Amino acid sequence: MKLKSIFAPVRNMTAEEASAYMEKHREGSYTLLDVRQEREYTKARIPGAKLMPLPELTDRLGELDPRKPVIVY
Amino acid sequence: MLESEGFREVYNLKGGIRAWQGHEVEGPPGMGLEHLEGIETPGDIILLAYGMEESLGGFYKEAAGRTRNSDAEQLLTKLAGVEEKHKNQLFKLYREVAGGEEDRGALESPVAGGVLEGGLSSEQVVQRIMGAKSSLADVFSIAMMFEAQAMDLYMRYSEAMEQEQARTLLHDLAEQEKAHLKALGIIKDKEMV
Repeated sequence: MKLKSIFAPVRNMTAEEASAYMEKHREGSYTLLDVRQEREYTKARIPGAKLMPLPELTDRLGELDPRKPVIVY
Repeated sequence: MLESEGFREVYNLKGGIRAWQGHEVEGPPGMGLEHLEGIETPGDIILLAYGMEESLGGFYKEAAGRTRNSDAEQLLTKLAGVEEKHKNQLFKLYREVAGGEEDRGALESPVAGGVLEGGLSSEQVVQRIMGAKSSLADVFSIAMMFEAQAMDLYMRYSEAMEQEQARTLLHDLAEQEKAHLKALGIIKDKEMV
């Protein structure tokens, strides 16, 4: 399953841009979404990321606030 | 597909986590969440946060006593002082939220002992703990690791909360940890030149 088939439209953000975005915006005003597998999330993640592995994404979308910007990795 | 559900602003982090240059944290999604048992009200959350700040302050103090590097000792003492300030802020907030004339003892007594900020166990802390020979750079990494873990933990707590007020409070706490991380980065840049 491709991210782009779930979220449309998707724009790219470089790591630098994402870092600047997170610094500028308050926690809770956006969602940082980790769509990797749990073991990858457990090993290393960006602080504050919410785990939602890609295969579960379509079933769990209700947990996300569609009004908030989402940064996915 | 999701346009109909309103997801209008979605960004893909180019290069994924491999491209990420900032702080990282580790641990399973449920780490530290065992302390949420019975935590329902914003007052409970403040109590929990108070306990974590207290544990972290204690760690910084202890570490300051262990190091033989005077710069590191100074930094750790300063960090312990910052945690003390956070406790004062939390106490003020607690009185506002709980509305009563609670004294400080109400916050001091029930706090979870041995729980450090970020939900790391004492054992995990000891594994990463600094030795007497730890350099100032080591101390910065340890402090930043704690603050990043704490920020991540508060965000995971917020996910577990049903009340909007509780979630907002946890977001604010996470925001504060993010600010500490930034402040530590600034001190590090000044000290490490």
